[in-house]
Amino acid sequence: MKDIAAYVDATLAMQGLNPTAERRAEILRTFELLTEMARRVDAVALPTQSEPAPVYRP
Amino acid sequence: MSTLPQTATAIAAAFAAGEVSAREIASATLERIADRNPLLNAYTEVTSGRALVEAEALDAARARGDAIRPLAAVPYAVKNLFDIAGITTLAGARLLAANPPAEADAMLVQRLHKAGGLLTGALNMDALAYGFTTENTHYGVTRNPHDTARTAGGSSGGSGAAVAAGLVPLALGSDTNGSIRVPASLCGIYGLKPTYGRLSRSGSFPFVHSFDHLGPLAACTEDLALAYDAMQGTDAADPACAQRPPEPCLDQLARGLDGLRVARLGGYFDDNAGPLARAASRYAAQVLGSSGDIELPEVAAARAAAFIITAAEGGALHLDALRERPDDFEPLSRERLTAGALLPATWVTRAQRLRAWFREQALAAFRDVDLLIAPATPVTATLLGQETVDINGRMLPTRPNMGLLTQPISFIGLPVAVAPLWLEGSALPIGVQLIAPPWREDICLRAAWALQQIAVSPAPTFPGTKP
Repeated sequence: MKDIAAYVDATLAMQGLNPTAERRAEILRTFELLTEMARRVDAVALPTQSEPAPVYRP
Repeated sequence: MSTLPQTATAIAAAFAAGEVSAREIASATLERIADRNPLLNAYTEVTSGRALVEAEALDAARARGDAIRPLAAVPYAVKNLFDIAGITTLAGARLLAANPPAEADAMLVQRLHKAGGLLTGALNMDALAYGFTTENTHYGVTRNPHDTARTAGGSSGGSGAAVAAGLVPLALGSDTNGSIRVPASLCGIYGLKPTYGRLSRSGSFPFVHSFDHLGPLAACTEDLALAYDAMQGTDAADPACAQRPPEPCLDQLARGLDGLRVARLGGYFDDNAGPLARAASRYAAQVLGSSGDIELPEVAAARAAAFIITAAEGGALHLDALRERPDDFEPLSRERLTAGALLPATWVTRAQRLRAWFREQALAAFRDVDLLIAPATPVTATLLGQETVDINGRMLPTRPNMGLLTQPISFIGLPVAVAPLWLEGSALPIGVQLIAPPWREDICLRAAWALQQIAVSPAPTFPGTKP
């Protein structure tokens, strides 16, 4: 999980967020959970033609 | 009248018949709230003055011979993310407490007012609608009327508790991932999450624009349909609100299951449901004449995608405040919002593509059936402060996982009614989801009505009473 911690620290800084060490630990735990969720989504083979759901109506 | 009517339909009928005044109904309701709310903490603000003014206006209109409105003299309350003119919209968050009062009512409050409803106040919720237990650090926990040591569910927990305790016959809530359906299930009442885009969200505080829905909670399906019918209609101020004319449901209820093809959702919806929740969905399937079980593909991935989009949109919405005022956030959800603000765009885009694909899979299933049944929550109401919950031998964090069974359905915007069941041997209720194709709320409500005729459906309770 070293890579995830590095990503979280870099993006926290990039977004201008500066949490306490205790908050950072919880953010990291949550991000690890989100990473598991993203892997689950990635595991579904989607057709190239499948578009994102939101539709902009001018 | 010696005994005042309790349901919305009975109140409106009694008022129309001249058997009761709106003033009598308003006064009795406000007394009930004053008596019971201190224990439950369902309300964050009681709008006594407004309810009495609205009641007096209705009584005067009736005396003049004006037409009687469909919800005349029906008391209701709204989750505190709905704008109420003259009151600051909190959305459960101390972060917003210093905002100026709303200048106008939310669109759905305007419509209930026009229909003759009496607004009694604003209801407690999880901060910023990010939670399923209404354990609000800054505005207190809302207690379940059936067991005050337990959660009323969330995030529309105040709405669930207010109706279940009989404070009001009708409340409004919002549902992004299950926030109407979870409290309906845990409080033993009916709830409707309409099709995404059916009811206007203008004048309500957002959480996740992609999934935010608004809808009613009530103690019976007739009241649910009465309120839903009064709130339908287009609204250009909400870009997601569909350009569809109202399609009233109240007069459709008594058709029941006539001609409907029913199936039960298995697979994921069994694997993530405890024994009582599975029993509830099997009981509902049996009495509603299910032809058997079907499975949707990749439901776990759909739930994961909903989780990602929720975190990303919620985090992005509150990023400025997370930078500037992190200490004003609800600690139970602040770090989830912060983590959401860090997600790569590829994850969110992929999740939105999965959303469109999963919708196609569900629509394919609806070629063969009209109604799908699933449990609404994995378990009955958990204890306040309970950190983990046992779901089929897996110990999972309580707060994010009470929506395991609702999240995949709101992900694709299908209409769902929740009907409560009190199964033999359980002291607590649990709800089932009655799911229909897009824009077929009539099917959800007809099925809920049919279940209401068959299943035990207790009157609202207050601590110390049992159904």
